[in-house]
Amino acid sequence: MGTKAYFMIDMDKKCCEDSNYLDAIRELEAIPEVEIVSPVSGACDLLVKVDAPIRVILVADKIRTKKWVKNFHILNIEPAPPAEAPKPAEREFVEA
Amino acid sequence: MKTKAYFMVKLETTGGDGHTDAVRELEAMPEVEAVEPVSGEYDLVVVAAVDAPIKIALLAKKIKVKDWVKNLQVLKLEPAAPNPFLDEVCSIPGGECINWCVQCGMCSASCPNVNKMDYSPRKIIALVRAGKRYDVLTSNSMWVCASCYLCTARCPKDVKITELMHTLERLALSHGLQNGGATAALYRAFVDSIKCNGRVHELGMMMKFFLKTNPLAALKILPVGLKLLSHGRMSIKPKKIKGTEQVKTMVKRAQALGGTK
Repeated sequence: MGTKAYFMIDMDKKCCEDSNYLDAIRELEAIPEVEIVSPVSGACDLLVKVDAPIRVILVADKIRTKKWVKNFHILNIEPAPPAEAPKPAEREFVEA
Repeated sequence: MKTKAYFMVKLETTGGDGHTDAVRELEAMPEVEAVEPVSGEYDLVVVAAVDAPIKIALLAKKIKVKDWVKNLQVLKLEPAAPNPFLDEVCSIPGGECINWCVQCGMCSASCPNVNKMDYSPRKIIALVRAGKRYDVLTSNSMWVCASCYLCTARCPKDVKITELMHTLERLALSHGLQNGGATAALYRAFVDSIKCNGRVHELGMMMKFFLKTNPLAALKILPVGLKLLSHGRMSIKPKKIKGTEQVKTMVKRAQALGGTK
């Protein structure tokens, strides 16, 4: 499992009143592995980017147990495809 | 101020050259800030920043038409920080529609008085959303609004911009920050006249208005006033309608609902 991941979190509507919503964001921001917490509208309520030095799954379990979490999806960040190697320049042979 | 969004892309085929080409193609788009290949429900997470919220939908369309896209989900970034000014505007009748705006700028393009405004209607909405209370309430934009309803008629999202302008006028009055000059004084004189007589008494209203603003300016329109009086088009004594008490009750009720004198 990679060390970086996105968590798509759907919040329980009963628990996410205005103040609770902000508390949830602060709670996530307090986790040292969490890099970015983005409140979003769409398929989920929060998009969290984590960088866990050991295992992402441990952080995921920590967040999954929060009472305001309804649905939880992990998107592990894979290493980017290698950049195309530049073609070696044709060597010019200069006749001596 | 840029609007940020996340696009979750599920590819038709994963791995191989198709995957790499998709990443390269996305990275070439000017709005795209980062493309991250992921494993799970989706294959790519695209971070994009656009000038106006409406461009998120356009960018989503641009990505969706690619033949390598199987499924696309847009996650629009929402402000998490509390915005008391936006909440205050939304709580006043007529102000709640501010959240529907997509910043297309149709209102600003339609407004006949936009060149006299400190901020165009589109900018006013953006400033309210950004929580810039002082900038909005001290501007002259809402006071310059002629209530022609052209912006409201042309808005693709049915935002009641004219009502919103009146909401901001009321807020500016209640905060004592109005920059409307004579407009606010004219509104007050008009409401006072309606409250007393049930209809407008032109002479009394204008006298009240000039006494509150600039009494000497009344001399400029004195010839017109005298002409109107001599032709019987304007009466010296106010004419009251039947049931002025009911009108007073209506005005009081409107003020209790959030209107300001």
